[in-house]
Amino acid sequence: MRVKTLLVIVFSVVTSPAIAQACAVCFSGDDDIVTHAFNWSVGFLLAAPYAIGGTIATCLVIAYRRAVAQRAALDETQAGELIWTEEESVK
Amino acid sequence: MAKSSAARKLTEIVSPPQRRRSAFGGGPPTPPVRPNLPILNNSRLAVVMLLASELMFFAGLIGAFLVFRLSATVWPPPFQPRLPLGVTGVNSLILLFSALTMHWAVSASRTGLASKLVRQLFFTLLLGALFLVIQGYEWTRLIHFGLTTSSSVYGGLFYALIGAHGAHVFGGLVWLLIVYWQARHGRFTKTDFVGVQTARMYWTFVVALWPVLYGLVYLY
Repeated sequence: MRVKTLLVIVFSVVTSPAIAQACAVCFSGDDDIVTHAFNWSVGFLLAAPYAIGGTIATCLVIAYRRAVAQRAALDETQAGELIWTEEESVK
Repeated sequence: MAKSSAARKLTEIVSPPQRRRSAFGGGPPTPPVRPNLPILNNSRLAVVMLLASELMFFAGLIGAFLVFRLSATVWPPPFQPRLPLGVTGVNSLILLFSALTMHWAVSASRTGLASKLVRQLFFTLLLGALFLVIQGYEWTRLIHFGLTTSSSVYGGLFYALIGAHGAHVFGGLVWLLIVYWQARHGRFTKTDFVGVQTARMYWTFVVALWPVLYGLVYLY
Protein backbone atom coordinates (compact mmCIF):
# COMPACT_ATOMS: atom_id res chain seq x y z
CA MET A 1 0.00 0.00 0.00
CA ARG A 2 2.83 2.39 0.92
CA VAL A 3 4.66 1.59 -2.30
CA LYS A 4 1.50 2.19 -4.29
CA THR A 5 0.94 5.57 -2.62
CA LEU A 6 4.55 6.52 -3.18
CA LEU A 7 4.28 5.62 -6.88
CA VAL A 8 1.15 7.75 -7.28
CA ILE A 9 2.89 10.72 -5.64
CA VAL A 10 6.04 10.34 -7.76
CA PHE A 11 3.98 9.92 -10.95
CA SER A 12 1.85 12.99 -10.27
CA VAL A 13 4.92 15.11 -9.47
CA VAL A 14 6.86 13.98 -12.55
CA THR A 15 3.97 14.51 -14.94
CA SER A 16 2.91 17.89 -13.59
CA PRO A 17 2.88 20.48 -16.45
CA ALA A 18 5.63 22.64 -15.02
CA ILE A 19 8.13 19.77 -14.72
CA ALA A 20 7.17 17.74 -17.80
CA GLN A 21 8.13 20.56 -20.13
CA ALA A 22 9.38 18.91 -23.29
CA CYS A 23 9.62 21.97 -25.51
CA ALA A 24 12.48 24.39 -24.86
CA VAL A 25 10.56 27.45 -26.02
CA CYS A 26 7.07 26.47 -24.76
CA PHE A 27 7.37 28.57 -21.63
CA SER A 28 4.25 30.62 -22.21
CA GLY A 29 0.55 29.94 -22.26
CA ASP A 30 -1.71 29.61 -25.26
CA ASP A 31 -2.80 33.25 -25.31
CA ASP A 32 0.47 34.69 -24.17
CA ILE A 33 2.01 37.59 -26.08
CA VAL A 34 5.34 35.73 -26.38
CA THR A 35 3.57 32.76 -27.99
CA HIS A 36 2.02 35.07 -30.58
CA ALA A 37 5.40 36.66 -31.24
CA PHE A 38 7.03 33.28 -31.82
CA ASN A 39 4.13 32.14 -34.02
CA TRP A 40 4.39 35.20 -36.26
CA SER A 41 8.15 34.90 -36.50
CA VAL A 42 8.07 31.18 -37.31
CA GLY A 43 5.24 31.73 -39.82
CA PHE A 44 7.24 34.49 -41.52
CA LEU A 45 10.38 32.37 -41.72
CA LEU A 46 8.39 29.41 -43.03
CA ALA A 47 6.83 31.49 -45.79
CA ALA A 48 10.05 33.29 -46.82
CA PRO A 49 11.76 30.44 -48.78
CA TYR A 50 8.55 29.62 -50.64
CA ALA A 51 7.98 33.28 -51.52
CA ILE A 52 11.58 33.72 -52.71
CA GLY A 53 11.65 30.42 -54.63
CA GLY A 54 8.25 31.12 -56.17
CA THR A 55 9.30 34.59 -57.31
CA ILE A 56 12.51 33.27 -58.90
CA ALA A 57 10.62 30.41 -60.61
CA THR A 58 8.03 32.86 -61.99
CA CYS A 59 10.76 35.15 -63.31
CA LEU A 60 12.53 32.21 -64.97
CA VAL A 61 9.30 31.01 -66.61
CA ILE A 62 8.63 34.52 -67.96
CA ALA A 63 12.24 34.76 -69.23
CA TYR A 64 11.93 31.32 -70.86
CA ARG A 65 8.69 32.22 -72.65
CA ARG A 66 10.17 35.49 -73.84
CA ALA A 67 13.29 33.68 -75.13
CA VAL A 68 11.15 31.11 -76.98
CA ALA A 69 9.12 33.89 -78.62
CA GLN A 70 12.30 35.76 -79.62
CA ARG A 71 13.83 32.58 -81.00
CA ALA A 72 10.71 31.80 -83.03
CA ALA A 73 10.66 35.32 -84.47
CA LEU A 74 14.38 35.07 -85.33
CA ASP A 75 13.99 31.66 -86.99
CA GLU A 76 11.12 32.93 -89.08
CA THR A 77 13.17 35.87 -90.32
CA GLN A 78 16.26 33.77 -91.12
CA ALA A 79 14.27 31.03 -92.93
CA GLY A 80 12.72 33.66 -95.20
CA GLU A 81 16.15 35.05 -96.04
CA LEU A 82 17.53 31.62 -96.88
CA ILE A 83 14.68 30.52 -99.11
CA TRP A 84 14.37 33.68 -101.13
CA THR A 85 18.00 34.32 -102.03
CA GLU A 86 18.70 35.72 -105.46
CA GLU A 87 21.01 32.82 -106.35
CA GLU A 88 18.36 30.18 -105.78
CA SER A 89 15.56 32.05 -107.47
CA VAL A 90 17.68 32.13 -110.65
CA LYS A 91 18.25 28.38 -110.49
CA MET B 1 33.92 5.51 -90.49
CA ALA B 2 30.19 5.35 -90.06
CA LYS B 3 30.61 5.94 -86.35
CA SER B 4 32.74 9.05 -86.83
CA SER B 5 30.28 10.40 -89.39
CA ALA B 6 27.35 9.96 -86.99
CA ALA B 7 29.31 11.60 -84.22
CA ARG B 8 30.08 14.56 -86.44
CA LYS B 9 26.44 14.86 -87.36
CA LEU B 10 25.42 15.09 -83.72
CA THR B 11 28.05 17.53 -82.56
CA GLU B 12 28.68 19.87 -85.46
CA ILE B 13 26.47 22.69 -86.61
CA VAL B 14 25.67 22.33 -90.30
CA SER B 15 26.43 25.56 -92.11
CA PRO B 16 23.72 27.12 -94.34
CA PRO B 17 25.51 26.66 -97.77
CA GLN B 18 25.96 22.88 -97.20
CA ARG B 19 22.35 22.59 -96.25
CA ARG B 20 21.24 24.28 -99.41
CA ARG B 21 23.31 21.97 -101.57
CA SER B 22 22.11 18.80 -99.87
CA ALA B 23 18.50 19.83 -100.10
CA PHE B 24 18.78 20.61 -103.79
CA GLY B 25 16.21 18.64 -105.73
CA GLY B 26 14.82 17.11 -102.54
CA GLY B 27 12.58 19.91 -101.39
CA PRO B 28 12.96 23.43 -100.05
CA PRO B 29 16.11 24.35 -98.15
CA THR B 30 15.87 24.00 -94.39
CA PRO B 31 16.86 26.79 -92.00
CA PRO B 32 20.31 26.52 -90.38
CA VAL B 33 20.56 24.65 -87.10
CA ARG B 34 21.51 26.94 -84.22
CA PRO B 35 22.50 25.85 -80.73
CA ASN B 36 20.01 26.69 -77.95
CA LEU B 37 20.78 29.93 -76.16
CA PRO B 38 20.46 30.19 -72.35
CA ILE B 39 17.26 31.96 -71.29
CA LEU B 40 19.19 33.96 -68.73
CA ASN B 41 22.75 35.18 -68.77
CA ASN B 42 24.98 33.22 -66.37
CA SER B 43 26.07 36.37 -64.56
CA ARG B 44 22.48 37.43 -63.98
CA LEU B 45 21.57 33.94 -62.77
CA ALA B 46 24.46 34.08 -60.30
CA VAL B 47 23.21 37.43 -58.98
CA VAL B 48 19.69 35.97 -58.62
CA MET B 49 21.15 33.18 -56.45
CA LEU B 50 23.15 35.71 -54.42
CA LEU B 51 20.06 37.84 -53.86
CA ALA B 52 18.01 34.79 -52.81
CA SER B 53 20.58 33.99 -50.10
CA GLU B 54 20.71 37.66 -49.06
CA LEU B 55 16.94 37.70 -48.74
CA MET B 56 17.05 34.68 -46.44
CA PHE B 57 19.73 36.38 -44.35
CA PHE B 58 17.51 39.43 -43.90
CA ALA B 59 14.47 37.20 -43.31
CA GLY B 60 16.34 35.67 -40.35
CA LEU B 61 17.10 39.12 -38.92
CA ILE B 62 13.50 40.25 -39.43
CA GLY B 63 12.27 37.03 -37.76
CA ALA B 64 14.41 37.80 -34.71
CA PHE B 65 13.12 41.38 -34.69
CA LEU B 66 9.50 40.16 -34.82
CA VAL B 67 10.00 37.91 -31.79
CA PHE B 68 11.27 40.78 -29.63
CA ARG B 69 9.00 43.45 -31.05
CA LEU B 70 5.75 41.46 -30.78
CA SER B 71 6.53 40.12 -27.33
CA ALA B 72 7.25 43.60 -25.92
CA THR B 73 4.42 45.44 -24.23
CA VAL B 74 6.23 48.80 -24.47
CA TRP B 75 8.24 49.60 -27.59
CA PRO B 76 10.69 51.32 -27.72
CA PRO B 77 11.76 50.37 -24.18
CA PRO B 78 11.75 53.13 -21.56
CA PHE B 79 14.79 55.45 -21.29
CA GLN B 80 15.83 54.73 -24.87
CA PRO B 81 16.09 57.49 -27.50
CA ARG B 82 13.46 57.67 -30.26
CA LEU B 83 14.59 57.11 -33.82
CA PRO B 84 14.72 60.10 -36.21
CA LEU B 85 11.70 59.52 -38.46
CA GLY B 86 11.79 62.72 -40.50
CA VAL B 87 15.44 62.75 -41.52
CA THR B 88 15.40 59.03 -42.28
CA GLY B 89 12.20 59.50 -44.30
CA VAL B 90 13.93 62.07 -46.50
CA ASN B 91 16.94 59.77 -46.67
CA SER B 92 14.63 56.99 -47.89
CA LEU B 93 13.45 59.22 -50.74
CA ILE B 94 17.10 59.83 -51.70
CA LEU B 95 17.73 56.09 -51.84
CA LEU B 96 14.54 55.47 -53.82
CA PHE B 97 15.56 58.14 -56.31
CA SER B 98 18.92 56.40 -56.76
CA ALA B 99 17.04 53.32 -58.00
CA LEU B 100 15.47 55.54 -60.66
CA THR B 101 18.84 56.90 -61.82
CA MET B 102 20.15 53.33 -61.95
CA HIS B 103 17.18 52.39 -64.13
CA TRP B 104 17.99 55.32 -66.45
CA ALA B 105 21.60 54.08 -66.60
CA VAL B 106 20.45 50.68 -67.88
CA SER B 107 18.14 52.38 -70.40
CA ALA B 108 21.07 54.50 -71.59
CA SER B 109 23.29 51.44 -72.07
CA ARG B 110 20.48 49.67 -73.94
CA THR B 111 20.25 52.56 -76.40
CA GLY B 112 24.03 52.90 -76.61
CA LEU B 113 24.29 56.36 -75.00
CA ALA B 114 27.66 56.00 -73.28
CA SER B 115 27.88 59.53 -71.87
CA LYS B 116 24.37 59.29 -70.38
CA LEU B 117 25.27 55.90 -68.86
CA VAL B 118 28.34 57.37 -67.14
CA ARG B 119 26.33 60.37 -65.93
CA GLN B 120 23.49 58.29 -64.48
CA LEU B 121 25.92 55.90 -62.79
CA PHE B 122 27.64 58.90 -61.23
CA PHE B 123 24.30 60.23 -59.92
CA THR B 124 23.47 56.79 -58.48
CA LEU B 125 26.83 56.68 -56.74
CA LEU B 126 26.34 60.17 -55.40
CA LEU B 127 22.85 59.47 -54.03
CA GLY B 128 23.95 56.17 -52.48
CA ALA B 129 26.92 57.83 -50.79
CA LEU B 130 24.68 60.65 -49.55
CA PHE B 131 22.33 58.06 -48.02
CA LEU B 132 25.22 56.43 -46.18
CA VAL B 133 26.61 59.76 -44.95
CA ILE B 134 23.22 60.80 -43.53
CA GLN B 135 22.78 57.37 -41.92
CA GLY B 136 26.25 57.61 -40.38
CA TYR B 137 25.50 61.08 -39.02
CA GLU B 138 22.24 59.82 -37.46
CA TRP B 139 24.04 56.84 -35.95
CA THR B 140 26.61 59.04 -34.24
CA ARG B 141 23.78 61.14 -32.79
CA LEU B 142 21.96 58.02 -31.56
CA ILE B 143 25.14 56.67 -29.94
CA HIS B 144 25.61 60.06 -28.29
CA PHE B 145 22.03 59.83 -26.92
CA GLY B 146 22.77 56.39 -25.46
CA LEU B 147 21.47 53.93 -28.04
CA THR B 148 24.20 51.31 -28.35
CA THR B 149 24.24 47.60 -29.13
CA SER B 150 24.56 46.80 -25.43
CA SER B 151 22.08 49.38 -24.12
CA SER B 152 19.05 47.15 -24.80
CA VAL B 153 17.57 44.59 -27.19
CA TYR B 154 16.11 47.59 -29.02
CA GLY B 155 19.57 48.98 -29.72
CA GLY B 156 20.99 45.60 -30.62
CA LEU B 157 18.23 44.89 -33.12
CA PHE B 158 18.41 48.38 -34.58
CA TYR B 159 22.14 48.18 -35.26
CA ALA B 160 21.92 44.58 -36.50
CA LEU B 161 19.15 45.26 -39.03
CA ILE B 162 20.03 48.77 -40.16
CA GLY B 163 23.76 48.05 -39.92
CA ALA B 164 23.44 44.98 -42.13
CA HIS B 165 21.56 47.06 -44.68
CA GLY B 166 24.16 49.82 -44.46
CA ALA B 167 26.91 47.27 -45.11
CA HIS B 168 25.01 46.10 -48.17
CA VAL B 169 24.62 49.66 -49.42
CA PHE B 170 28.38 50.10 -49.01
CA GLY B 171 28.96 46.85 -50.96
CA GLY B 172 26.61 48.12 -53.66
CA LEU B 173 28.54 51.38 -53.86
CA VAL B 174 31.83 49.50 -54.36
CA TRP B 175 30.15 47.45 -57.10
CA LEU B 176 28.77 50.62 -58.72
CA LEU B 177 32.17 52.27 -58.53
CA ILE B 178 33.71 49.39 -60.50
CA VAL B 179 30.90 49.54 -63.09
CA TYR B 180 31.30 53.33 -63.28
CA TRP B 181 35.04 52.96 -63.90
CA GLN B 182 34.36 50.35 -66.61
CA ALA B 183 31.72 52.56 -68.23
CA ARG B 184 34.14 55.49 -68.33
CA HIS B 185 36.64 53.30 -70.16
CA GLY B 186 34.08 52.21 -72.75
CA ARG B 187 33.65 48.66 -71.48
CA PHE B 188 29.93 48.48 -72.27
CA THR B 189 28.29 48.46 -75.67
CA LYS B 190 24.71 48.50 -76.92
CA THR B 191 24.64 44.69 -77.01
CA ASP B 192 26.97 43.86 -74.12
CA PHE B 193 26.08 45.60 -70.86
CA VAL B 194 25.52 42.70 -68.49
CA GLY B 195 27.78 44.36 -65.91
CA VAL B 196 25.38 47.30 -65.66
CA GLN B 197 22.40 44.94 -65.49
CA THR B 198 23.83 42.89 -62.62
CA ALA B 199 24.76 46.06 -60.72
CA ARG B 200 21.21 47.30 -61.24
CA MET B 201 19.79 44.02 -59.90
CA TYR B 202 21.83 44.28 -56.70
CA TRP B 203 21.12 47.97 -56.25
CA THR B 204 17.37 47.43 -56.77
CA PHE B 205 17.46 44.76 -54.05
CA VAL B 206 19.23 47.11 -51.64
CA VAL B 207 16.78 49.93 -52.39
CA ALA B 208 13.64 47.73 -52.29
CA LEU B 209 14.67 46.27 -48.95
CA TRP B 210 15.01 49.67 -47.30
CA PRO B 211 11.27 50.65 -47.15
CA VAL B 212 10.55 47.28 -45.50
CA LEU B 213 13.23 47.87 -42.85
CA TYR B 214 12.22 51.50 -42.39
CA GLY B 215 8.59 50.53 -41.87
CA LEU B 216 9.50 47.71 -39.50
CA VAL B 217 12.22 49.32 -37.38
CA TYR B 218 11.32 53.02 -37.49
CA LEU B 219 7.53 53.12 -37.88
CA TYR B 220 6.18 49.87 -36.37
